[in-house]
Amino acid sequence: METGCSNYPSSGDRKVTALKKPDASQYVSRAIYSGKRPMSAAQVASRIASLKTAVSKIAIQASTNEGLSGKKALEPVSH
Amino acid sequence: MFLPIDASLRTAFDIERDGDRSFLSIPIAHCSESNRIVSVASSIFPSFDSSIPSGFFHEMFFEIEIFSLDGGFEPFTTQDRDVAINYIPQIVRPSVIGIVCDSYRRLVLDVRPTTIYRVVKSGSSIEKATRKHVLLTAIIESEGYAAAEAGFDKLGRWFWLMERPRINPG
Repeated sequence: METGCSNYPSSGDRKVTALKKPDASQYVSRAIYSGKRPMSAAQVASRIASLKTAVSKIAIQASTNEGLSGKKALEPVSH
Repeated sequence: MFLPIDASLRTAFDIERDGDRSFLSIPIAHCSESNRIVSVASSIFPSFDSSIPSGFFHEMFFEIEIFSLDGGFEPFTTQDRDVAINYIPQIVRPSVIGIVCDSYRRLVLDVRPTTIYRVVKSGSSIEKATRKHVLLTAIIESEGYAAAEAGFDKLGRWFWLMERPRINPG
């Protein structure tokens, strides 16, 4: 006898798929690589500004160090 | 010849964004002849993978960045110790992991991720990896995170999953 639910398989045909438990060991990071990785044009563009800042800070530091050595040269020398 | 950059400059750099990646790039050496800067770049970025228990997580990693300021050399990054060692003055090498620790702390405080994933590059010896990653784990723990899972991934690389305990209201 038809039940009107003929699209459903009978219970004997049902496949029960167990939910897979998350397991972090299955994850494979794409952030880790070997050798050299070239920087993209976009990366290069974004890095230029901040590295210019770095260079200016380095230049300031270098001039400060020179200033310090200048001060030292002016320190009184004991005889 | 790459010469060390004064250590006092290391705290002078801000967290930068590249899409959804947040990173700190700390210059450690400079070559005036080739106009190149060597930096330690530490990154954190969000990701989703159903194999991680919480699904959504943040991954952290670090690399060495060699950047040519005048375009005379192709800029690149590397996680390969044998490559990086050619650009890092000997006197600076012991301080690299300390720079990464400071950077990780700043990134974690800035992003405040719920779950952090880290993995050791294959080829690293467990002993060397342990020394570095125990330090990094301790830094992240000191910011309120606890190890949720650790082991080896499908490629045999050592990984850590750390979580910030959820505070139950009331």
